[in-house]
Amino acid sequence: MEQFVVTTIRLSVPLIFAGLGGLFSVRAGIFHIGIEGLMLAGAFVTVAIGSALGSVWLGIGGAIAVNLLLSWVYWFLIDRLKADMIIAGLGLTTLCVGGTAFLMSAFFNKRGSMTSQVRLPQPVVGPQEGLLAYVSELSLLAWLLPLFVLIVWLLLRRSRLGLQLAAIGEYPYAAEAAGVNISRSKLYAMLITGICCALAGAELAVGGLAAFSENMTNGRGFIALAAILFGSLDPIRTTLAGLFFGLANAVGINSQIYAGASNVPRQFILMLPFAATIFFVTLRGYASGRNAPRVS
Amino acid sequence: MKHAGNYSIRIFSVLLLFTLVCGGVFSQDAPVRVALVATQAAGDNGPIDGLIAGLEMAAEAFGVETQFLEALDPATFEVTLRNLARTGVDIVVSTFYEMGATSWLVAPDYPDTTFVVIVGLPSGDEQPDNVQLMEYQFFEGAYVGGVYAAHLTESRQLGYTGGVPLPFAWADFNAFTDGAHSINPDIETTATFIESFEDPVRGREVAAGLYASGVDFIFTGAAASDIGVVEAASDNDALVMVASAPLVEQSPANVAILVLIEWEKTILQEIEMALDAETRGGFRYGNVQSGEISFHIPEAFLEATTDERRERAEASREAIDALIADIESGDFVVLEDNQERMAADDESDGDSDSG
Repeated sequence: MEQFVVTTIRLSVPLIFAGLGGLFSVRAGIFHIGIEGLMLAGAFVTVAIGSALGSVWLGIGGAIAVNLLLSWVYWFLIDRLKADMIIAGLGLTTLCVGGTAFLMSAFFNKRGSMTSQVRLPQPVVGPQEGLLAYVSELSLLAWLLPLFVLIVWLLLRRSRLGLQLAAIGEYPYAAEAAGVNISRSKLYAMLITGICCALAGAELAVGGLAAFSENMTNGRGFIALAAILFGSLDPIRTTLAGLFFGLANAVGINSQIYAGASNVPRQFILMLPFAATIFFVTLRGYASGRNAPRVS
Repeated sequence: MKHAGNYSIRIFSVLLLFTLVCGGVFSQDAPVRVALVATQAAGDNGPIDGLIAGLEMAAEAFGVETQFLEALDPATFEVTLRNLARTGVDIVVSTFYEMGATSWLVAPDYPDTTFVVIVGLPSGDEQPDNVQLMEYQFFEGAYVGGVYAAHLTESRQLGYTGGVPLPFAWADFNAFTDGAHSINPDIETTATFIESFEDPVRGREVAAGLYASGVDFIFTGAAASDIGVVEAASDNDALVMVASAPLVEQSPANVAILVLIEWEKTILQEIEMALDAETRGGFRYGNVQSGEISFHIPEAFLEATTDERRERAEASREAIDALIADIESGDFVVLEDNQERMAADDESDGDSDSG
């Protein structure tokens, strides 16, 4: 049971960081497909700079800096050059997939994967039983997540920026008429998304693992987007949705281990988390009287 | 006018002769061109990296001109093979089952090009002369690994982490189980799948779950996802059997055995066969007997591990060496079982027998 809880949390943390970051963009009316790429860039730069300088914090700092730059480029493309946000987002992700592979080869002479010399601290390591076992081997970022969720909630619900973003996303013309600088607010939203995705990538690469491998996000950025929609653009619900997706994954893993020797076909066991996800997303859609939140 | 005509004929003749001679010289000097088309990304610390290394060795050994390219999208398989053949590549080596059917389809249109598929199966009744296929019997290695794992396990629980549940993965897991049961029938084995060959994050979680359930030795065969499995072994001070040498460096105290497919050897042998009209084409198996599957207890492991584990590993050497010798000589045959065994089948497993 302890391992099941730890697995759920570990698989959820990157999704929640990315989901909360993406929330700023989505609330500002930007369906940010580039989250996947930003996570990947964050993972790579954390490992690359962290290993080169021997400090995981410098690595994360570098990842944040790179993601701020990439987010600014994305903002410039869709706001100033009026590029389609979906196409530009896909382009950003593709750029990050190819770019990280290229840079790994060019600077580290590695193809496919590279190990990291640094790792995020894990406050509790060792206990296999008792209460501490439920939080064993979680990275510091996982421990800081509740605080992070609170900060995001305050920013979105209680700050001027958060209210402006909500207004821009729902009624951009009204927001503009009220004197909101839409362009600047969207830039802030995307920069915050970049920072959160850098943290999500860092958690993936140096939270549980100590390695970067090509395309290691493996679609987690898109799942984070699904968590945002599942959570109705609310930070608490997005966090719960991220936990749900982590839980579904953990169920898939543990059902193989504990039900593998039964007569249940393997394909059925592997299908269960996906079936459960579809079921609950649909159920939630019915319960809330709508299938997806409105994104203008 | 007549002189002008003679001069023209002479000049034309000289130019023609020059062209033919130069053409002949160039064609004699032009090296045989070999292309490797990988359907997985390079840098997997496994098959693709091994094949690339073997390709470089082939360039030196046979004086061939080589090139490497990736075709990760199945929609590009056919056009990639055709383009290579059209541009004069003599031997196109491609990877894995998904390329078998495409090579089969394309080959008749380019009879001068040999299409080699490393790990491929025949896709029809009549194999084109210029299609050359091979498949590994890795389950032989898995069986030996199971015997070794049975010597090292303390909990008597062994695990397997594969990429996806394909027949070859079941063959490996079943042989691993049979090998362990040949030493101790009470050993329990559990198969799990990461559902990706490129997700080390999930690989770590799957392996961590296995170790938490009491497993103390995992056999992993999930390519790039193996990084996560080894990380979990390190975190849990447990043991793991891998099929990629660089993983030993990642955690020397935990990688207890390497069962390697000698990809370099395979591609060298395939290119050599394709270069010779006598041996070109056909289908063959790569196995322990052909020297394409090898076993290594890493020295780094023996140095870094505990005294107890070292003693167990050393004690198992004799049995392992004898078993390998028997497989090589054909005295012992590991039978292939590539189906998932249900609970009811458990009593009937252990099909491998001395031949």
